[in-house]
Amino acid sequence: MLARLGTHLKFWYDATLLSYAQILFTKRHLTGWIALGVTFLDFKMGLAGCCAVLASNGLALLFKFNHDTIRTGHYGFNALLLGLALAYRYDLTGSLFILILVGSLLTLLVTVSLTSFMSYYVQLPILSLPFVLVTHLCYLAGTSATSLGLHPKFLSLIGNTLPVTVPSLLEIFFRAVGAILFIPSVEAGALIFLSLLLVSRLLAIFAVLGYAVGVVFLLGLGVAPEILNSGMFGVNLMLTAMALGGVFVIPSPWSYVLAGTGAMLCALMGLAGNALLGSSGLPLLTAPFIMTGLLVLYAMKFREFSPTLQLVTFLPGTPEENLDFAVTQVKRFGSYGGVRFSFPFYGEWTVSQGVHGAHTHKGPWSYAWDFLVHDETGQSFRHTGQQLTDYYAYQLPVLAPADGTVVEVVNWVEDNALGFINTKENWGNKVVLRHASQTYSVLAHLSPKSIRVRVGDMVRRGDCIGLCGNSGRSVEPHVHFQVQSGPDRLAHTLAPTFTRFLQRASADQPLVLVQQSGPETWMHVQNLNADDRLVSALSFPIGKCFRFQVHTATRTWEEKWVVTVDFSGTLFIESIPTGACAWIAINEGTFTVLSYMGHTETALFVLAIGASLVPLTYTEQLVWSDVLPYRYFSSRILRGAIEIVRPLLDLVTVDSQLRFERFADHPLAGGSVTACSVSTAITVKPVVGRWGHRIWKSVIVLDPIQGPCSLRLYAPNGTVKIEAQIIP
Amino acid sequence: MKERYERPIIQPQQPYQMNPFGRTAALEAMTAIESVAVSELVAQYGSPLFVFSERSLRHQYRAARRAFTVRYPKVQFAWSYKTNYLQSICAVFHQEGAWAEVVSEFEYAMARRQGIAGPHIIFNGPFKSKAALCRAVTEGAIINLDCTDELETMLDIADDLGRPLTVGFRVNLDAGLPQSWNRFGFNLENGEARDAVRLAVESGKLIVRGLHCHVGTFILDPEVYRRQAKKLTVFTQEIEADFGIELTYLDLGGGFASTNTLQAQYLAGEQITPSFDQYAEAICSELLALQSRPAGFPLLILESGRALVDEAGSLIATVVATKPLPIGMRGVVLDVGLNALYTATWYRHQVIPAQSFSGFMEESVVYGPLCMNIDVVRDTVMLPPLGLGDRVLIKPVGAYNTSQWMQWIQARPAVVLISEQGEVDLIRERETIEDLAHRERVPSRLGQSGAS
Repeated sequence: MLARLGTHLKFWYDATLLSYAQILFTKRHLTGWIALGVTFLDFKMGLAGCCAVLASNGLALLFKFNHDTIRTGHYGFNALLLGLALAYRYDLTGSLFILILVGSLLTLLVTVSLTSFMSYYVQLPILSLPFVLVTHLCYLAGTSATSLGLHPKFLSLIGNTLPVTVPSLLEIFFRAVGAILFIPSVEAGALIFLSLLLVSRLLAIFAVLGYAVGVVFLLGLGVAPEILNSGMFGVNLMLTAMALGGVFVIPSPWSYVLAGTGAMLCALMGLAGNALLGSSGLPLLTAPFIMTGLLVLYAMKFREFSPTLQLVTFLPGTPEENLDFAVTQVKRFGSYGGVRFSFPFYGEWTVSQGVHGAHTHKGPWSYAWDFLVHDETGQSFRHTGQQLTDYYAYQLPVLAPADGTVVEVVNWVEDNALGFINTKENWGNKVVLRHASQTYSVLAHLSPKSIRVRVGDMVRRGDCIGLCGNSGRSVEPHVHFQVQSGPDRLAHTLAPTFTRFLQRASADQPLVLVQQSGPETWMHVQNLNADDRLVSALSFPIGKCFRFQVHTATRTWEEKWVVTVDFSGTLFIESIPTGACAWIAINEGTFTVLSYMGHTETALFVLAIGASLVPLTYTEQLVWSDVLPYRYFSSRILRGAIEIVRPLLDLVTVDSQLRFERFADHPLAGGSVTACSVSTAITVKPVVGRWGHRIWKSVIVLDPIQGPCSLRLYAPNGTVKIEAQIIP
Repeated sequence: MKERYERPIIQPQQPYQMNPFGRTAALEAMTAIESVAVSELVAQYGSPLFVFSERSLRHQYRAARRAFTVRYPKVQFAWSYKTNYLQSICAVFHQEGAWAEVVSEFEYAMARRQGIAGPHIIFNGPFKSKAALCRAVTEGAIINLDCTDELETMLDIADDLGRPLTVGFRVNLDAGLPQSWNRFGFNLENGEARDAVRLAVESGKLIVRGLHCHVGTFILDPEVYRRQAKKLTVFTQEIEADFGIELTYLDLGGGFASTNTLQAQYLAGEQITPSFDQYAEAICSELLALQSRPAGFPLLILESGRALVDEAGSLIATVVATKPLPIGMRGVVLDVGLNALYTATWYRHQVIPAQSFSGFMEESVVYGPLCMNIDVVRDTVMLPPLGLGDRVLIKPVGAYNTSQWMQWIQARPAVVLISEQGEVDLIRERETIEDLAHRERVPSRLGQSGAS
């Protein structure tokens, strides 16, 4: 009973505070507390805001809207702004609260409808559009409501007396900040700005940038400076810069430019809006910000991908979090989203013609690959090569490169006899697959009558669709693969993203794990093949527990790992009693540690940095690399400095090189085990100079039965920092 | 330089008819192995001498692996130890990535001595003692049970250790071979194999992880493998569905033929031995039916031995005597025979002169040096007239000879390995009588006999 009460209280706690925090683009309770406190600098405003939030969230619960969405404050923040706006304009009377209640309901409904509409049709956030619409409606309605007294002018409760004289530019700035919550006083503004600083330095920087650029622009246009003091002009500039600089766009040098430009656009819109609505008595509120923001974000969707300026396509957080996510995810996994293609064959084949190839992969059809099989001497045939059956690739299974639907099948073209090519039926026998609305793939030159799928069939990655042949424009048996944006035969090719694969230049060169790019001409390539031993060594089924005896130089303790899943379906390992958490994923034949939270002196930390990325293909001496977040290795103060500069420059990079050692006997407490180990060298490198350059090493032994059974981390000076042994 | 003397020969000529035994140009002298002169090898290491080519070993392994990996996604080769025990040869295959397949406790110890980890050893064979099984269990080896007695022993071990054990079962089935090997493992067709799996599952102490099936040796028809693979695929699906188990491997054994020619075979081996690709296509096309299992494809394990090592081995021998046989043929006696060339009883090995010759041939019988009437290396072969001290090359002899050779009448010869760069390494010394005697314990009353 008490527990249920506790759950309810926690829910209301989250929903209320996060509604306040959402206005400032953050998800932190701290921001919510500060904002709440600021609104109560004027008791009337505070009360009104609170009532609006509680009303909106309460109504949402009543109408059974999505619980988790209510908790994030999504349904509350527009109502909060409405409450503040109404309290700003009207006296504190009973009718005000009636209006707030009804207004909150309206806001809720508008929020829900607009969110659904905009996320489906244009994939844009609603920002504070419901607030603007409903406030205007209420203001308009209020003109005929006589019991709502119009509050002549807002007077600060605290007054204009300040202990310290503040330069007037700052005063203007802080007043503008305060106006975000309808409290244009220096104290309110300072507190809000402080809360921004505490949560995200970048947000604060963008706010200042937006205001400064906007002011300069307006002064440049010769606009009277009094406009800056009126209404929410400054608010619009700041919100626009924050949104376009780091919240919905990944911070980068160009996002700063975009933020500044956005501020100018916003100023323009504001001026125009003032001229339009000035006479009607309706204030602009945050309309310029919304219009600028939505326009820019929508238009940006139609650019070609550019790594220097990218929209946030994942769940947005603070600019630092967005940047961190984009940088580490992109560096580690390449693009996020989109179809990833595997090779359409078993075993190791050779690329006989790659992108921008010498023969036919040119111009709009550049992104294509021809694959065939070579023996170790580099020949594609045995004996004399005068018969099709002499060719190693002939009649080998050809597989679907990704999940999809069959949209076209050509199955009747005869294989060319050697020495002839068929230019009339260029493609020969082919299968065209549709993977996504603008992603199709073609596999061509297959053997006649060998295609075993029909139009309309759904195939999975790796399903056999036919056999390799020599049909069409084919000199010797090979498979042609390309990805294009449409199903027709002359469609231009696209550059596909490949799943991780192994590549080597020749049979006596070592295999290399390729993570971002595609296969090159004359390279021998193969898909990652899940090795059962590694799959079971790195299997973390939900509920599994591990127990370790952990030693450091000073302490010894027992650490327990429990595997659970979070609400979004991501697996994570919780370390008890240290409280650390590591989020993991096992897909595309790779084990990955997505992120780690917690103290760095735990066995789980060693796993997070020593086995951050492990392909589940065992090849002795295989070497690969990964990128780790700098925050694992730097102090809080240093982290703050790194974060601020990060959009422009990476002050510290952390790269790791991982390698399999061969299966060998490893002594363990209570016996020994035959297992393979992953040894990792982690280089922490500052961008300037050698100060701070450190190399950490780790060795993790992976037993197919017990999993990670021994973990060891070596500090840069060579001593063992942490050592953990599994307790069977 | 003194010209080599070649003995004159007399051959009957049939007037007005073609002489089928006239001058033949089909045989060419082979004066070097992998560009190392035979004369140099003999000068340094003596005769007889086994010579292995590392390039051939690696090439065969890679060709076999390639043939299977482009047709099936999960392939593992396990080197069949009984084919060749030489540590250097085993090491080459392990370097290339092969596991170890052993058929006795004796061979198991060899594999461990070679440094192979327990989980990479496949323990087969009709005789596995309890001690051997215990060791295999402790070290995590893959155990394929051959009979119900072994099954009982494994249940006992499971009780002793107090934990469930993983096992595989050897099955025998009819794959269309005239002689089916039904003495090994559990029969598929009469339900014995299914019963064994059921016993294991119902005991609750054994986890069935795989099936092992090795249908024959020197199989020249890939269709045999197709039938075997198909039956195993169907059986796998049946037992997985009926008993709720999940197999992780299917071991299809070995038995691929080399280019040797069987005694009773009409056509030469090079003409009819199937390629690895033909064997692979027969096996893999059937196994692809297992794609729809929830666990995906099982691991295909292949225990090839002969096909990987036979062509890599040659034997240099020296002619020690020639005699005209009363039956009209020429008898050629070499310094090595069945004592080190057991496979001469199975195959018609090539016997190639290692020095140039005129081209006139005579019908010869090649004997070994043993005082045993059946010590015949080749019965009826056309050879040029050979004299004392002439060298011949006998090939392919890489499989089974250096594991089945006898310490009898002649010392076992030395073995060398020629690396891919052409360097020659001695990998096994020629034996002496000490190798024979050091294991003997003579009671003192029998002392040293002889004149007192």
